[in-house]
Amino acid sequence: MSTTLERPALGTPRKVAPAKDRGTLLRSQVRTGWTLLTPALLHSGIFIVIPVIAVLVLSLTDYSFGDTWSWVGFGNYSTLFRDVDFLASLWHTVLYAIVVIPISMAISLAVAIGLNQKIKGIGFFRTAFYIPTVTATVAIATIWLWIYNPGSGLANGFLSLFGVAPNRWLADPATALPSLMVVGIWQGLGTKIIIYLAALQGVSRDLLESADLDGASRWQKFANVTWPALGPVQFFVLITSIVGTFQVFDLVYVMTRGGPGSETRVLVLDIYQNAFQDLKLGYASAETVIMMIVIALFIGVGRLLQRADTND
Amino acid sequence: MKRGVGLTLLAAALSVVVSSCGNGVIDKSTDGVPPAEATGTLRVLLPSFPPSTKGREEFQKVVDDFQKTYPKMKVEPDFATYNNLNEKLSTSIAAGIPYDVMVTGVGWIQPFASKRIFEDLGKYGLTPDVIKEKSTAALIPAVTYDGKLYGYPLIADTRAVALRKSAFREAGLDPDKPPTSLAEIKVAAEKLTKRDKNGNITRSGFDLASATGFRQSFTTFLSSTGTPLYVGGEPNFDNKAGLDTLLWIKSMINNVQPYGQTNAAQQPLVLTGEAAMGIVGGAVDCSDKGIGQKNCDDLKFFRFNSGKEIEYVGGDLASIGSRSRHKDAAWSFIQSLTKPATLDALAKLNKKVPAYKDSANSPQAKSNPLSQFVADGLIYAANENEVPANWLEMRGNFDIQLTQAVLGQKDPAKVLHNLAGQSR
Amino acid sequence: MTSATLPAVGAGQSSSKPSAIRPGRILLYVVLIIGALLMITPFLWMVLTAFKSDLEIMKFSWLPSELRWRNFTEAMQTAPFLRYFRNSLFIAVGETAFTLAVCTTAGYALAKMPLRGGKMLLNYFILLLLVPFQIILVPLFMIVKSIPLFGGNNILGHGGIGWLNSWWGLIIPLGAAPLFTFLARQFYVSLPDELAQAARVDGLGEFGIFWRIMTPLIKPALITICVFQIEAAWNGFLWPLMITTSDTMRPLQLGLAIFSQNPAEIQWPYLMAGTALATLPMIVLFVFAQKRFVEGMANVGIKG
Repeated sequence: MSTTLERPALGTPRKVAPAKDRGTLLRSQVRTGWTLLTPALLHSGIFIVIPVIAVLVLSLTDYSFGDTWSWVGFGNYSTLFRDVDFLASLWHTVLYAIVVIPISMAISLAVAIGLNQKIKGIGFFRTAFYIPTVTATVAIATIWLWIYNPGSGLANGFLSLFGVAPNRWLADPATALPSLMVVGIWQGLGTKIIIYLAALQGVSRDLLESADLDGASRWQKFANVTWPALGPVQFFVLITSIVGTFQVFDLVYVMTRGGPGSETRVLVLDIYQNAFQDLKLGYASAETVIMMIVIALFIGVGRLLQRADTND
Repeated sequence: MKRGVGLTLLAAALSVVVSSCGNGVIDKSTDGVPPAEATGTLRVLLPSFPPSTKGREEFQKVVDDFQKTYPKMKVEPDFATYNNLNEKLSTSIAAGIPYDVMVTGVGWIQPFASKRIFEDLGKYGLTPDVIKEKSTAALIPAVTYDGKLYGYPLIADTRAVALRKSAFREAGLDPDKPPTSLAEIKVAAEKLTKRDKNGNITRSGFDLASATGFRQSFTTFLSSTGTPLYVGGEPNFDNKAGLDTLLWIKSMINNVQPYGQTNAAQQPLVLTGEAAMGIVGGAVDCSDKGIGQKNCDDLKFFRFNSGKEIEYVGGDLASIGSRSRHKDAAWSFIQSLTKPATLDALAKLNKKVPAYKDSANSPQAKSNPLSQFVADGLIYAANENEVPANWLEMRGNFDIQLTQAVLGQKDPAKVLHNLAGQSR
Repeated sequence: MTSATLPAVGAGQSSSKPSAIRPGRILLYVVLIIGALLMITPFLWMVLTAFKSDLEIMKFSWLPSELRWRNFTEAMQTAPFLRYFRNSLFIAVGETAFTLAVCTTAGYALAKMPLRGGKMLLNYFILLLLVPFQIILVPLFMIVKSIPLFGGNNILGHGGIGWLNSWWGLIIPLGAAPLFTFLARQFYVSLPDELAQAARVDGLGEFGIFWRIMTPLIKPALITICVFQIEAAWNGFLWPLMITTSDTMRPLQLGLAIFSQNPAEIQWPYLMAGTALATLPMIVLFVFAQKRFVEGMANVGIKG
């Protein structure tokens, strides 16, 4: 027997209940569908789409909260590509995303599978891995600043046990961004583990049992039953990880403010400072538009990779 | 389709019901109306009062005083945090509902005055001659734009230098003759720096208090050579004094203090003995709840002087919104806010010193040795001076680029030249 | 096809039922314990710091010299924290109810209903995720101010303050994030269509199928949405700060900001004590929620 879960096709059901006329059913489904979808469409239209349109319009102006403003066409955009802070932020953000996304996804899936076993103290472990998500960022930042403290820090103390020379971590331009990535991975595990855990409940036990009967190895079960069943959720985690890493802000803001120099400056930090410290809302809007395009490109690549992955 | 219409009707009906409970219609103007008859709500944005029970009590006293003149007006305070002040200011401006009274800090007045967001207080009789009598001279340049006054100083946020007497004696230095010039400080700091056998700094010789950026410390050191950062909105740092100062900072970092050093509480390191000398704020708590009397007695305070004795001063400044519909009332509120008793309370709540003229005799100055020292020193005030209109933008540029110069990523002379070019 | 005869690596483990002690198990425990410690440490440190004195707090260290319980009581007496707790609870519950109602329905429609342009609609919701909240702050503020017929506004949204300073403004704009619509959709899409068809044969309407058949099956996802949304609402800072001016509606995180209001004078012991107390309900909530994940497992016994 095949242990590959049929992925349900999007939208149209293939078979139709015999008792009903095909057209009636379709109409009733379409009507129900739109009714169910309307509140979300209305809500997102008002509270997200309209603001985004406002951002698009603002990006063509030099609005800076003053009495007067004027249209500048694509002036903001052409300035952006000569803005060293923006280019540095873009580069750091892309680097951050490329490193953090695969590592954090792999670790959280592994931990989720571990936590899906029948083990003692499961509740404790699940809660423990979720705690960084609920711990206030200010507390997280403070302790990581201690861990990375060049003088009395825990990281150097630990490494010195192995005779490794002390590092300057966040204070060293060369290691600041990688140090920040570690915290980002650490903090983001909780939510991903939860989503994977929830998804692992949906993996058909019948299929796993029949694979057992077939004498499949653990790895075979994972590859042939669990992995395909996780497909839709993998996609969700990938997309949200891309968005989340591109929009990393709080952590950088409280830990380094983008320093030393601009070594850990990331896009949302740059946008935020342009908008609310420098009060250049028009310029920050143009920057946001570029950022959204870049994320969209990444998502496009992510979808291609995923399609290649689920096809084999 | 029918369902859609039904939903819309339902929503409309709901909103009518709910809106009848809401209030807060934008007020009619009260300017020109006799105070006793003026009605409406005065909206006040101020980070100076913490929204704690104590802060609220003090604020209520100001409101009570204001309502002696404007009995029918309500006051709606918005206790923002300093960190989010700009977001609140800018959204309220964009949405067309600006505050009537806004409290900001040094560096805000010029940009906002140039955007015509703040009102010229000269209309209410606050002329340069009047403010000289009321306020410490330290903050007058900070509220001046184009020769006019756009703000009223409330409290002063000061920086002095402190040394540990015990560390000085241990290193064979005389604590009664503190080093004040940049050159002297460097010599002393190098003697005071302690290292472990691997050469890592275990106690800093001098704390530059610049973990988040060198803008403020650069301004301070530069001013102590008699060179203000800006003069009349024009950059005054792309010169020999500027370069010498920046090179001096560069020679200090990772020599007498590791870059980015800060303690868990982000407090001045000299207060805990983690540095032998260093920049401190405007108050120190000598009680057991604070750093304790023993620590306090080991401290000696002094000021930078590389040709000019200076003390870095920032502060809280109250302004009137140019689109306020209650400007007369707003001015009356500022008068209540700037009564000495209120400023004393504000100084205590914020651990700063009051910005009125006789600050040295204020209760806050009497309460601890550091506040007394900085209040006495307000005559030596220095800060960024007359900043350009794009100063808010420049602040970030300074923080980034000075760090790049200090860490050797960029050429210091080029950085200063670049910053001068960006100032507009 | 899985061929059973291959002597795969680790095949010895796979078919045998879990015995008492196996090297794999021990390794699993060791890894999980180290991982859990790494995760909990900052939280522990926060709780320990809450007991410290001002002087102790300046230096990086673990243990306080004594347990200063008064830090907790003093912190809570600094401001009306009971009201802040109540406000946060109200916002969290309101936002979660709103999110569940809007996002499950939309997620189901996207996953299971034959809508023309269904793929486009899904892409629309994914694209919405790209929008960073920080930058739409200003336009969003203006929209919330111009909600017609609220807060003194006329039908065109002029003249008043709309949803500013109101529970509506605190709850509705940030509720029902596209993230949760997307999440719900991804879980509904994993459910087999045969279930719905069987229900249709039994004469159940489309809404009944959504509500009585499919939604109970994604209970783990619903709990996930609840946990995430409650936590987001509970920790919300910037939006409540922006749209409220009066203190009567402000939530917990704004109350805690009192202790760090002046960046030069952060009251660390109180801040940590307050933060620890604020985090506690979220941890308790999670402890209960994670049990439900297992419960969900029993329900999903579907043939593939």
